[in-house]
Amino acid sequence: MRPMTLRRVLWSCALLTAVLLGIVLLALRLGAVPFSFGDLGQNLWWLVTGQPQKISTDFRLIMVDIRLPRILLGIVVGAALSVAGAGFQALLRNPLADPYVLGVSSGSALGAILALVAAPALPLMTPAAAFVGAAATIAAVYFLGRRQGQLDSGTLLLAGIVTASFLSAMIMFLMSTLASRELRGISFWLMGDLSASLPRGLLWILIVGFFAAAGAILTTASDLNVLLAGEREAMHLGVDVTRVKLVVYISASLLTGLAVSVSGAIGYVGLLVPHVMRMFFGSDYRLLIPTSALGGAIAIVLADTLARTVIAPTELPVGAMTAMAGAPVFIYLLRRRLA
Amino acid sequence: MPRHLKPFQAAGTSPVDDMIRRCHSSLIEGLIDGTVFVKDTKDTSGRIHLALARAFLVRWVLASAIGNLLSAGLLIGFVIVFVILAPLALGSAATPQAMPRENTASPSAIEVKDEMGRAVRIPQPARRIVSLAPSVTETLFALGVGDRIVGDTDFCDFPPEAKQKAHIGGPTNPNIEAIAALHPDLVVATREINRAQSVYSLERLGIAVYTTDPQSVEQVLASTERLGELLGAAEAGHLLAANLRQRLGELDQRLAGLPPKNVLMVVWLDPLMSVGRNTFMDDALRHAGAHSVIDSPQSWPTIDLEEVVRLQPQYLIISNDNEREVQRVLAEFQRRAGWRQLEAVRNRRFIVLSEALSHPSPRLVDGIEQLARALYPSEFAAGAFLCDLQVNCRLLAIAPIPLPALQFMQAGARP
Amino acid sequence: MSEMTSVTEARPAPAPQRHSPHLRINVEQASYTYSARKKAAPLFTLEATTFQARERDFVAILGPNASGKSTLLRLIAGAIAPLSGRVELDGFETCHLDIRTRAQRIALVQQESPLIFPIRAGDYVLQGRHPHGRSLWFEKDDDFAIAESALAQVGAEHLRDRWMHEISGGEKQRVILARALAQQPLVLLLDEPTLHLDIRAQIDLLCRLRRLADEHRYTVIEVTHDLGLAAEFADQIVLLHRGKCLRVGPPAAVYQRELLEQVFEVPLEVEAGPAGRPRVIVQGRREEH
Repeated sequence: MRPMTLRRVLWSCALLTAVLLGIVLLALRLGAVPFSFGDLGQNLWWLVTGQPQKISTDFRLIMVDIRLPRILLGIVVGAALSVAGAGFQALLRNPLADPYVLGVSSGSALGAILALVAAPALPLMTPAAAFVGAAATIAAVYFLGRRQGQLDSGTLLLAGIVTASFLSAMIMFLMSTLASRELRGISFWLMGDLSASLPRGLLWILIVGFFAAAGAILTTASDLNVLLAGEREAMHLGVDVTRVKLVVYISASLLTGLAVSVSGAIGYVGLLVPHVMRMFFGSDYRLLIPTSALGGAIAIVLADTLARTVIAPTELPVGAMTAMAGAPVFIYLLRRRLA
Repeated sequence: MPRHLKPFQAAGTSPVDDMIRRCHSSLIEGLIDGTVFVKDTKDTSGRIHLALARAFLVRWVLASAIGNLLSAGLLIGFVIVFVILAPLALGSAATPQAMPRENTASPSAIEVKDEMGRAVRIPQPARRIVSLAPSVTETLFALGVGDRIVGDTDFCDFPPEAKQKAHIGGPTNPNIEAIAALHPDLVVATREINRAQSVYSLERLGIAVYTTDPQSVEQVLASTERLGELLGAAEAGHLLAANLRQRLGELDQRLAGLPPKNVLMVVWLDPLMSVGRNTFMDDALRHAGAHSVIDSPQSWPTIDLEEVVRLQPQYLIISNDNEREVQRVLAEFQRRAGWRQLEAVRNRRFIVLSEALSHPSPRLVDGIEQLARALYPSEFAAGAFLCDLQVNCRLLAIAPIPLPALQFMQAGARP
Repeated sequence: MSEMTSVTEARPAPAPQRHSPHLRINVEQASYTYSARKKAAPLFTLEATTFQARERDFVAILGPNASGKSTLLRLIAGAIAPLSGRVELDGFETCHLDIRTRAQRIALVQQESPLIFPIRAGDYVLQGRHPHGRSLWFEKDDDFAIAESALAQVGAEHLRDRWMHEISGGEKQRVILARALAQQPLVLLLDEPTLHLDIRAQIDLLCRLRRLADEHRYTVIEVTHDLGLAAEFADQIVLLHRGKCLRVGPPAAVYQRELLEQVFEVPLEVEAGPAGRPRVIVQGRREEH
């Protein structure tokens, strides 16, 4: 039994960060317009050392304006979904919980659809309305999922599933009756799609929101360890169960809402990455949260790179890639009885 | 002072004394006998050595301070990644003027509103055009600017030269990188089959995107004309539009006074989809003397077979170039029990048209004429040239529309 | 903690308030009521109960099912606040202590909850150190040492690296007890600890508890419905029947035949055993007249 120390956490994170940087370099190189490593290295060097005039226009256009923001978005979305998934698995005491089980993605989708229909000319309406939809769903499920004034895992799960079903039904109704042609794009959104290019400010909001929410969950990590060994006993071991549940619920839902608002509902990542990290690094949440974040980033950037390059120039939505890869991984985990 | 010692703190005693007193009454003396917690306790009465307690406190405070600073392994890992990537990705493009104007000899551009009301700056002339829809490609070729197209979609196959152009993906998911790499001055899209998101992404890179949105046949012609004006092919555009309007006018004359025939336009079989009002296809049907029995505000409504049976259209229309697909659909019409309730199926009144009818491009008029001939064969001599008047034929010879082979087939008995 | 400061200010000094030295647990006329909803009629009432426990005491709360034993235990643990009366730990009301402080002084051993993710016994015991840490903390060497010695005290060092879902019931119970010991509490509360154990494991556990109380100055309070073993090991018995506390005292005083027959509703005999502890003999089925 190896003790959990700070040094172990830092080394694991360093290892995963190294893997992430490798994948990022690969993602920068590959694409519909390929670059060689030599080009890449030289241009990056010029960029970093502050000689922007030497950079070729192609590089600037493709790499800096298109690929880097997309990779950054992929990192944040992947990390957010994985941390949210790990949080929900602890909150709902269910290894099959993923970030969408409480209906946040359906609420987001509904908001996005309404925005696409009502204000198709404003590009920022879609993520904003999607986030409002997510927030409304979070509040609704919170009030439905309480029992005797406190969040109860079983009730919360049921409330979430019911809300998700109801919202999905409304979405289906809207999609089949509305006249608007913008709805064509919603199927891409529903599958999860990173190709939308976002204004810089939005990306900043995403990053700050991610750190705030993931940091909040991290502070409850040791409480979550105790909570998972038994909710009744947790209170007697000094865990403020009400506070911890509320913090985890709001933070994980916020992470999900942020991720889904900008990229749609990318599936399997929030469910599988925590399990895979548990396989490698154990169930201790002090290590699981950071490694899930990094693992999720790796998974999404990898999936997105594959989605972009497998049948270039046609782009697959990244959600299709995660589903294709995710199902076999899930089956494997099931057979090892860890899921 | 750690909070947890407070309840036992009697007034006037020092915290360390208190801790000792507490240790005296708690089980620490039991647990720590022989353990490493207090290694060098020699006092058998169970009192903890004072100096040891102080040393413990000091170590604890120091360790927790360092622990507080470093214990967020997550932040360390991410900060490394973001310090490298974020400034590059976020700080670089202050204004998305990534497009160099290297290919404009005269750097003039006009600012216009496209058909969705968005402001677009189109360089004059635009030399590198990317098309995001097959109908747009057709229109551009018809306007004579086909050589200026540098990229089109995977599905652009008419005219055949379109297949030679660089492909940038499908209409719903075009590859932004591939488009950007072609350095276009102008991208032309349609509201019908392109996504708003693609338009925004391209605009954010500083690429001008002009969106068309024709909702009737006349709007198709007007849109073509306008495109011609904007791309410096105004004359060709006017000519083309005038020609097409003339043909339509003729058709209207010929069919004037004839009662329209009820038809069902079958866009898709499973689920059964047809066309709704206020679409160019519905308008096209009207021009051809047909009346779509489906009256719906949606563009592509899904309809119920029972409703169709109630309405009993006289003809079923399919618009498809793929021979095998056509055969399959016709076979399905006749095979399925529900469909046999339709007169049109029992009497085998199917009309198969080329895809010309489903594209909002100049070829639409060909499709309309095709349909009219199929519906009112007595009004047109079979196999005759598309026009009767000498004047129009001459105009046709000038206009650069390749005449499609008439793939018009009437399966089964005559009406 | 404002409650705490007001308490310390109201009393001139803590010591004179204690009725006698080392009075660890003081339950004074504590009562509690359960109801389905706030304004609904009460489903169950625990009536005013009074007893005290000092260090080195082994108290058994005895009674048939649904007599309020678990409620009383939760009152002592501070999980619920009494409707009337007081429950005090070393002079301070347990329900008003904050959760961490309470967890550092009171350990509750219950039937184990099902585990969602696998965990090793060593890590499980280490969770007992949680009340002594902060958020975002890692265990120190002292914590590992204390957990190790807790396992040693229950005789389960060999189980340290085994998975919790793979060990037997008796071993699990010992590991749970070790976790409670790792909390370094003053008071050990146990809710029917001998429920699923075989007779040897039961005796084993109770002997350990007895030893913990005697040698290491714990206060042990156990909830049980096992008449015989309670008489053997406990110093004090609290007899509950349908929410009423019928008697508090040493086993010899509480084990009166009529009283026990009334409470447990079975015919039995009580005779004196060795060391002054009564022995209960259950009569078996009486033939219907």
